[in-house]
Amino acid sequence: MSLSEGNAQTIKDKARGLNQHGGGSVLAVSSSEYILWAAYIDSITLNNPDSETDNNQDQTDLEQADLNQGNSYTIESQATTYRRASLILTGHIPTASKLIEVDQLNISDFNTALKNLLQGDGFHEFIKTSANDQLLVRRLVVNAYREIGQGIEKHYSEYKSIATNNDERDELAQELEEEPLELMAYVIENDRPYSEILTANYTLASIKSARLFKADEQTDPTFKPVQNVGQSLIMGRFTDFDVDSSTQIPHAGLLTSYAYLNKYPTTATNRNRARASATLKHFLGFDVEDSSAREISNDALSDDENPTMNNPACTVCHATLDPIAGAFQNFGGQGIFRDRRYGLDSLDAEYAETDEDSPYQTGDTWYRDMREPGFYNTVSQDNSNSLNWLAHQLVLDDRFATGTVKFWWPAIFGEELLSASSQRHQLDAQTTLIESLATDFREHLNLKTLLVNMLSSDYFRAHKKTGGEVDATRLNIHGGGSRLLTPEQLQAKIKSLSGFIWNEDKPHLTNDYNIYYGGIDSNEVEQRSRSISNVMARVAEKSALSSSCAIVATEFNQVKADRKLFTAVERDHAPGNYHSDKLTLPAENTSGMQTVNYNVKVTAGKVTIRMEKPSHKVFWQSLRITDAKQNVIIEGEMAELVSQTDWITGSGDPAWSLTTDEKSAYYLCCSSRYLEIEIPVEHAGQLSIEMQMWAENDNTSIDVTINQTEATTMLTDESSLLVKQQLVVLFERLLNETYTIDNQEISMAFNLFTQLRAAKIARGAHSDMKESNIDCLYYDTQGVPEADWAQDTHHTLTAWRGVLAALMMDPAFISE
Amino acid sequence: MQRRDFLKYFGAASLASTLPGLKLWAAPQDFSGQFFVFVQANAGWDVTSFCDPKVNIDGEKKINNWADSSAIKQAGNIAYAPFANNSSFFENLHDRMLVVNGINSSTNSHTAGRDYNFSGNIAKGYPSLSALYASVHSDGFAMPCIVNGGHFRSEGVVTPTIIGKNDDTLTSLINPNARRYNHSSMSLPQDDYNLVKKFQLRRAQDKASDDTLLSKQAKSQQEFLAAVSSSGGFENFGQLLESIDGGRFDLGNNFNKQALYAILGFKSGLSIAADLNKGGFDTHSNHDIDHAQALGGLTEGIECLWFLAEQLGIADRLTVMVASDFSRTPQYNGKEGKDHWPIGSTVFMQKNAPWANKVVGATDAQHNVLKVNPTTLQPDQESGIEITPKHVMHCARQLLGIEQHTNTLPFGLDIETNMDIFQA
Repeated sequence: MSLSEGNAQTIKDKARGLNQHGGGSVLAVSSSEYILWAAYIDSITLNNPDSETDNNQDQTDLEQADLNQGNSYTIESQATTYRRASLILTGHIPTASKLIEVDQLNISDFNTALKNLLQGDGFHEFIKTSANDQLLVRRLVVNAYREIGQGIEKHYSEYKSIATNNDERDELAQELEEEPLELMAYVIENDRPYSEILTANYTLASIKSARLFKADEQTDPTFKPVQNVGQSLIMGRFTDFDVDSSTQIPHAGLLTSYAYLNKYPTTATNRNRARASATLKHFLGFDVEDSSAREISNDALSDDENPTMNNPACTVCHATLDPIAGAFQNFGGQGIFRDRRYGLDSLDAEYAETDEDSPYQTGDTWYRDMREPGFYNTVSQDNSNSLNWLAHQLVLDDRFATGTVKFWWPAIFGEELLSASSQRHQLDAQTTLIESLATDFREHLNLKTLLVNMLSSDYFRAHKKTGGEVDATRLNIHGGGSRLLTPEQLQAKIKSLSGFIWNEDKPHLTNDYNIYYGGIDSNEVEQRSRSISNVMARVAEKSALSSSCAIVATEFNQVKADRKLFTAVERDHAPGNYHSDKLTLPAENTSGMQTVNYNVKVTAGKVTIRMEKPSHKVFWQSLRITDAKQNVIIEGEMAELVSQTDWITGSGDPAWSLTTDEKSAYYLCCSSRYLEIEIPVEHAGQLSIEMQMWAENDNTSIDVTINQTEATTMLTDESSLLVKQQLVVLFERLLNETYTIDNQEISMAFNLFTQLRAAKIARGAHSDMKESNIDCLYYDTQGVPEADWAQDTHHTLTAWRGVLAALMMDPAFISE
Repeated sequence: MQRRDFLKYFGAASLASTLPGLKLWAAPQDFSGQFFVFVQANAGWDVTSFCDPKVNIDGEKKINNWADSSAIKQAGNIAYAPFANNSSFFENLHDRMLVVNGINSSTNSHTAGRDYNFSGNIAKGYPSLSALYASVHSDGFAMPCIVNGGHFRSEGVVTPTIIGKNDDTLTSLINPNARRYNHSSMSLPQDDYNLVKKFQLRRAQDKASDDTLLSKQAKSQQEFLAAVSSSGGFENFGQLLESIDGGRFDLGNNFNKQALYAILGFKSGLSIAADLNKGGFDTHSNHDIDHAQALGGLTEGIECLWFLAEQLGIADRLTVMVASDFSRTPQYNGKEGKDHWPIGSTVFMQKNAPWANKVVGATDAQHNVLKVNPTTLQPDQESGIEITPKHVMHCARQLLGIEQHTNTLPFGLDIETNMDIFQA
């Protein structure tokens, strides 16, 4: 056909299957491929000056976008890409040292590192969850009575012995809904040609399903390749299978799995068309329903002269759809192989038995008033194995590669494909990438390689615009970089970083709160929420608040080397905590009065010296404190100082001096007593504290702490620096944000820490973090009493609990 | 904590107001417009057994088994089929109901039919009406559009809120800091929680104002900020849930619960629109039994919706639209089922509406579409036009006052001949 303005629409429509296109329908009207196809045809055929101008303008716009701003974005570091890829594909956040190592790799080694991620249990789950997002087969358990109890029971002789109660039935249902997903995982993980997901002449089974399929007995729940020879062609009457009529299911990869077939139950009128439509969409990336999204005339819709065969308004789709539907000919309404009368076929009983006008002939396995089983213009030659034949046709189609890219697109990029109403140049770039990835994929059919190529693309790695002045709509890409995590991914992230799972027996995020957090149930809710709603934010918040106490308790009850997050601090590292120790005094009658000195470097402001919990009686005769400039801040006999200044408070009493006949000393009798000295320090620097002290008993001890009363970001004491260092670690681990210790973001987090700590002190300075009516989901497995695991005399655990909660409900935490 | 107290505490208003294009704290309690519920009767309802009743014709294939023993009934000016729970539905609610019959969806495809009837466009790419309406008034509403699955398209105009069906789980989110089954027990002391929320909000604002973000990231950060900034109304929701009286309705029923959450969302100031989803209508076999169950559940749920709206005093502000993919064939197939039929109906409901208690559009005795005069809406085979979902959606947008809104304009319906189905 020659190209001209007059036949442009005709040419465009042929791609949709219109105008008796011999190749049938190959592009959906709203697909990006069709948009670009139509634009291309217009550009070379239209003579309309206005259109030409428009086209030229479009082209100019496109070129400008490309030349000036199309690529005006930055690419994230290799470390960030690796971290994100690792979480998404394996459920693990790599260690900081691993990320530093990855950042140094050359491109080739970096891609190898990415590919090395594609293994293990996490990757296994990634494959299955991602595949289910498309196939939506995890729905048998919720409908187990109907789909398993009624569907399987009458056709599998082993069912009765496997599912003796509802729990066992549900376990079997769960195995069956995992079957197609496990098959995909098996093919991918073992580097088998990806085409085998459709062409495999085997399926996968676990303990119960292996029994159902009459395969070799399995005791290990790990799914293994088997043949399904468990179905009986003679339908059991209430499971009374007295004749062994087991048959071999002619496998066609996941297409012949019960869960896949059952997802699209067929009827006398649907005749497998839903299965055909789903198969085209999932594996060739062609949405035939989308291609039919147009108004059809009343005549065509009311045409009762077999319109799907004869009426052009109908054949546009049915010429493509119906032969594929025919290839499913051996599988009945619910997905059972040849479910009509002794395994004759799967035809509708009215068509085959009661309709006097039916063209049915004995031995038929497909409807004579429909197109023959096939694929486009090729007819299947073997009706007994037509689905396997179809599978081989599908994987030979060029669109199998593009369909595969589209199938895995949401899993890798965390978004659906762009819609037809998107910016043209961005649609163009997306289509170019899909084609490029598909071209490479056709060469090897290795899904891992495809996934690595997707991870290496700008669609995954684009970070930010090169500047605020760049117009984001002019870029060739609209996204890239971090995306909102799914419930499964958020749960995996928390577990990887902390070891904690919120309600481990039945994790809240992936069960109770799954739908509320944007997840799917493959039944009523079939599409993930990619945008965060208020309710979703509340779930993230609840998760953070419920988890933080347990994580902090777990961390601080381990030695530092075993911790995952709090690797820089201990309990007593409180900002402005200049000194903390247990002072031990000998008995006065053997050693006399002691001079106790503390020299600490402090900042200006108020400093508190607190002495408490003496093991036996402790006495002070005098106190002298000088600042960095040798100015005396306070000096005198202790009893006098306590009585005359507000700077000193205590729960002890005056005592007789050892040297004079006066009650000029001061003492604490027992462990509940304290002495606290709060002084103003004008000059930062060394603070010298000198006390004359004695004890009645040998080895008398007392706790001594010297603190900045009100912590500020100006603090430079060791504890403050360690707290800031710990915040640097938390920002990197939790948020993938790398800062130096003096960064403003760290300062603000430090402020939060000190405010939380001050709030705890203001509430009464409880000695543990489990204050009244405060919940903590920590359960010590070693029998350590709460007073010990929750011990928080420095109020740092309380502060860390709040900081951790804040970071876990941060936008950077729930995204990756 | 009340929303304004929350605002005062965190000083969020001044910070939020610095963000271009983002209006937080827009005082949804000041909203005095309509609340909108869109009801999806998913998979193709049989309107010949509902609001466009058809009896059998001698010599023709049987249309409805119920017509063997029963005649068409009338509630006010609306004829209905004596089938399923219809009697209660029409007798109780006909005075707030406009039935639009004879809508030609021009397709037998579920997806195309849903897109056409739910968005006005036969191909995907247009938002559902509930999404569009919510988008226009979403400022300040924590969950402007409640969605219950099914066929819903937001097309980016609004962030839908999907909530499950478990009261305990939902109410546990009213105060995320409280323990699930012991609300007096907290994860953090209240003053710690306030500090943490302040820190979170500050970070969210900083990120949302980053002008170097790519389009998708910028949108995500804006959505996050909006999500953590809007909190007013959840306490009200919880209190209302505890006090609501279900009357004769089982509020544990899936569809009734969707209705319950919609009404509570409206009353508590959280929501302005809801998209309800009822399936079970694709009765290619065993039509009478299965369809009666689906239709009965649908009408009971809509009655429940109005009952709850009356109880909470918002029935006067409620607009409901009930639509489906298309309808079902005016005859049974070999499995006592009915297949797809492009000619269908849509029902609008609003209390005290001048257009209520009325039927517009028509079909013939065998449920073929009849053209209507676009001005009088009377059958006119000579010079009339067929009512399409596009016409219906255009009128619905007008009814809701959003047809000229900037959010709506990109989704124009390209109507060749205007008609006003809501003319009094």
